[in-house]
Amino acid sequence: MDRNFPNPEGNIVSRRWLVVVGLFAVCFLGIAVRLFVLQVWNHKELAQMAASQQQDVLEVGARRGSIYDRKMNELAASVEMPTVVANPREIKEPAKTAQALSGILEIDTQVILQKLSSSKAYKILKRKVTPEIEKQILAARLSGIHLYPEPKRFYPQKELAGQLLGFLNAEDQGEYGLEKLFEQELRGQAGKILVERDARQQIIESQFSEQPVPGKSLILTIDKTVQYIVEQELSAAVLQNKALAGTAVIVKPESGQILAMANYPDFNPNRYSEYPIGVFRNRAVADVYEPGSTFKIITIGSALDEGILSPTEMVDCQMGKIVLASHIVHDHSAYGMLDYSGILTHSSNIGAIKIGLRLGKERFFRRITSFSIGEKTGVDLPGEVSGLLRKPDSWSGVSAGFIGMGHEVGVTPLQMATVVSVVANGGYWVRPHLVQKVLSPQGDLLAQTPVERRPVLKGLTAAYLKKAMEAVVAEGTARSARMDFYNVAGKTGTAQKQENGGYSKSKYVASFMGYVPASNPAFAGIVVIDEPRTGAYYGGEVAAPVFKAMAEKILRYMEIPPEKNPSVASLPAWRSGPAGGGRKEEEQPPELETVASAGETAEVLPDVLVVGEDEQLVRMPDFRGKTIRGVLEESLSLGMEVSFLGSGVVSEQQPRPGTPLIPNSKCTVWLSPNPPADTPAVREGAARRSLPTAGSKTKIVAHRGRSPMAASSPDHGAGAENGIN
Amino acid sequence: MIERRTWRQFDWKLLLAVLALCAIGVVFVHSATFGTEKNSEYLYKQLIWILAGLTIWAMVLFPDYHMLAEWALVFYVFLLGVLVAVLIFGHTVHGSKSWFHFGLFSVQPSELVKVAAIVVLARYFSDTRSLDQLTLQEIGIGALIVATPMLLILMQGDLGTTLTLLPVYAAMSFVSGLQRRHIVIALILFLVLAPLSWGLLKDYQKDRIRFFIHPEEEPYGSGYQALQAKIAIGSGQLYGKGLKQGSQSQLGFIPYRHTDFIFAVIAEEKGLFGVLIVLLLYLILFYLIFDGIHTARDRLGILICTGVVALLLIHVTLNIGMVIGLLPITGLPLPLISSGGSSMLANFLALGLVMNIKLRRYAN
Repeated sequence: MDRNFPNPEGNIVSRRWLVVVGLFAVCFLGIAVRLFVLQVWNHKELAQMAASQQQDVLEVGARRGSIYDRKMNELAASVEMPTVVANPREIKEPAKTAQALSGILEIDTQVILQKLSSSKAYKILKRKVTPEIEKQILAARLSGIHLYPEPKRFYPQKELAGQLLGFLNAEDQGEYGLEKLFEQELRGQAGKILVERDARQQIIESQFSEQPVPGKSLILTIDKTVQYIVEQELSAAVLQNKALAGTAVIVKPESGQILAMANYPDFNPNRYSEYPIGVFRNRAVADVYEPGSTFKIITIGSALDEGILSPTEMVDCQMGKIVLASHIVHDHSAYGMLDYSGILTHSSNIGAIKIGLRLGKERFFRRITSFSIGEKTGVDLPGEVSGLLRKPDSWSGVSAGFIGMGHEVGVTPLQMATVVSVVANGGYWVRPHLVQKVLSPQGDLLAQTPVERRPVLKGLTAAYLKKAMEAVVAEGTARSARMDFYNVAGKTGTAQKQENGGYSKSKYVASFMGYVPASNPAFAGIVVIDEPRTGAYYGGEVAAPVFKAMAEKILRYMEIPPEKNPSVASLPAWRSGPAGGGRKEEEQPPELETVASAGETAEVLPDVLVVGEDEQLVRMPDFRGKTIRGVLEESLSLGMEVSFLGSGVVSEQQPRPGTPLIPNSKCTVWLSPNPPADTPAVREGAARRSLPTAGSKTKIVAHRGRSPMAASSPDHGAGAENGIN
Repeated sequence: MIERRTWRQFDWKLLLAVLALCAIGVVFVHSATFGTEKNSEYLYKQLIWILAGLTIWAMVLFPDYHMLAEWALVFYVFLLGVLVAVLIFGHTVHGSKSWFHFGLFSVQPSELVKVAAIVVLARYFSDTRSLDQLTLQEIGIGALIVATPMLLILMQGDLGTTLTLLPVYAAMSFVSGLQRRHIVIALILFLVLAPLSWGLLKDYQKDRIRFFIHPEEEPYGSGYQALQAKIAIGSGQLYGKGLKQGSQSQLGFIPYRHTDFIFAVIAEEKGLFGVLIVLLLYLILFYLIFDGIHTARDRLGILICTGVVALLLIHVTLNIGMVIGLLPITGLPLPLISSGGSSMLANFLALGLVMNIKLRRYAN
């Protein structure tokens, strides 16, 4: 018997079977191919269909990081609030549900009904409802209506630091302030809730498919109490002066940490939608104003630092009047000879103009930019502007003078706060910042803002400025900032606002910047009052008292020991020069009037020139009356660098003819189309007028010989020798 | 009753293949019903059915299949009576009045009658005079043996189960020796009668066929099941979503997922590799039954094995074909895997017969 076919019919049967087996083989092959098509070829499409009918993805915002002040008080926090979500497929009686919800959510029934008849499995009805509404919804027991907790931003301090913080808009995006700038850090990563529903459209499970990653938290340099004090005083001052607005910044001068930054009018970020849009802007970094006299700190500081102004030099303030290009500039009082400190104390425009001109375009520009004027400070706030500072090649011949007294230049309050910090900390420009630390959601330190600083003034220069600024408060224009137990250093500023291309006669920006205690500054700050409208508009009248009021409270809060006893308070011993007299001595915004007749006359005379100490001195030639070509030929042969201003023939030059110069020094010539109206004789007279100054200079030379300030680089053209002829 | 040398023919591979399929069934019945209240009930019932099936299977091994074939007619007639009784007293499940409820368990006599019909038919065809030339009369009587239960099952409203007997009959008569002209006539008859039978179908049956052709037409109606199964299989991809992780199955998108559509659950949760293993096990099983045909001692053995393999094959093919969308939806279980007692018992009974035949291949 055949082992394989033990039955006699085996062969026949097995042959027939081949057909049957073949048929089923085809079937199995078909099944395998079909499976391959479904599971490999079309799997993406089918998997997507599966997902779309089984799942809905709800995006849930991550808990946004908090913003704390330096003492870990919460300034911005996130709280969980329920969002009302409807699953239309679960709702059997849409009309009834809509009606019930309409009452609770205060939304029109039709609007809800429309959402409920959506084919989507999820429809958000109202985000972030109050606990009361949540309770009502739970009580109503509506099928198909769900509540999902979502974080809502909350600003527990209400108006406090509103412009600093910014707010979250309806889309939960940070707007303005730190909320905007640190959007990425604060936001975290939204989580996804995967809602699984079964074939009957009932929710089986809702779980996080992606856990939300909470945002990082910020610890600010702001001190809530200091901020509160500053805001209170600022708003009181703005209201009292019926001013348009006010800004104040308080910083730690050595670290650049901003303790307070306030603007008034303010707003409550919890209810931002109720405010006009203009109020959100942080004026401290976004608004540019002409600084006026506060800028003189830069002018005088630069000149002292450059060595072209000696601390004891007396500058002729021309008895209160100077004609600059086609403008007559007045001082509020007539001053004769003032030293640098006197210029600041009495806020002499003429003195500042002269020093500005003496600095010259390039050098002054370089100095100004070293204070980050005309540049952004790089503070960690959005919307910062760089201010307005033209490039020196577009300065007019007298721009350096105008800029010297704080005109033709636009600054932000924060820029000026860093400028006053330079004096307070002994000569360093420190980058201001608001965010001290960045914390992980778990509270681990992720980043810490380093102190970024660079020297801009020599220590001695800063010391001179300090003394002058103390004098400003002690006896100058800022006496209203004087305090009983502390010495205050400061500088006032009053600038006319520009209007219709000219200066307004009635609109002013009054400011005061200072620091306290003068001997060991706890903080520096600035107060800017925009358009005071009660008649008083001087910085000393309007802004300085505000600073004082703030400072008194802040010092008490910071428990800074008193510096002095009011009964023995005396003027600093180093003080010399004319003492200020009476209330009248307010620094004056230079009233600029155009003098038609003086059009082509520049009566300003560079009075003193200090040249470099060098063996190989050359004498400054007399360029007057020469053409550009003539000047070039001569200057090139002497190895001089000449800046030309205007066109025509040389009417004025700096340095004066005969001044000893080191090779490669720079000089400036002013050109006018016509031959100079005034004769050389008149010039000589003008030169003589400044002779007394020059005379006093002789003494300075000796003094400077042992002063570290004498150490100046040759390319500054600054040096030791007596400047005058 | 069984000699030692007979035991030597015991086909362990066949038993292992059957047990493997049953094990897969247990796992996926459990997975498919996971999360439902009756989860453990389904699991225990499935295990009980398998044990009961194995018992019947073992019992069937002992008597010689020739003896069983003699008794089959009695069994067959008895079951026909039961079918009539079901029509009168039975319970309707999913549109088919083919169930008896006995407490916890339900019995579907139509599953068992198929096995009885196979044996009776094999017994009849093995006794025909000519070797492979069935006469018209023989074909007719054979058809009657199959058609009687078919008619009764059809009357219950269970078209799928009814139709499974058709290929069984075709295969058995073909193997017994159909004349070529009879085959041609049968094919012509089929082609003519098939369209005519459309009118005899019930509405839901027509819908099943209509939406088989255009399943997207009505995603929430009759085409829904086919579409959902397709989505489940496709989203399972190569390796599947993991046991109890099939979202289509677990979320109830797949209809009858522990019974008729269990293949979709396997495909979703274990992917292409999982279902290929299932298919491979079925192929092994069928190969081993084919082996039984080749080695069967006589015509009766060949025909019983033929009937059994045809019955199993048609179930597997129709079920998988339906699940993967190649064929219209018919309410057929997947043999040995789907939850359900009657089908399990019937399958073990049939496989017991095959083993019986294999055991006695050398017996005289």
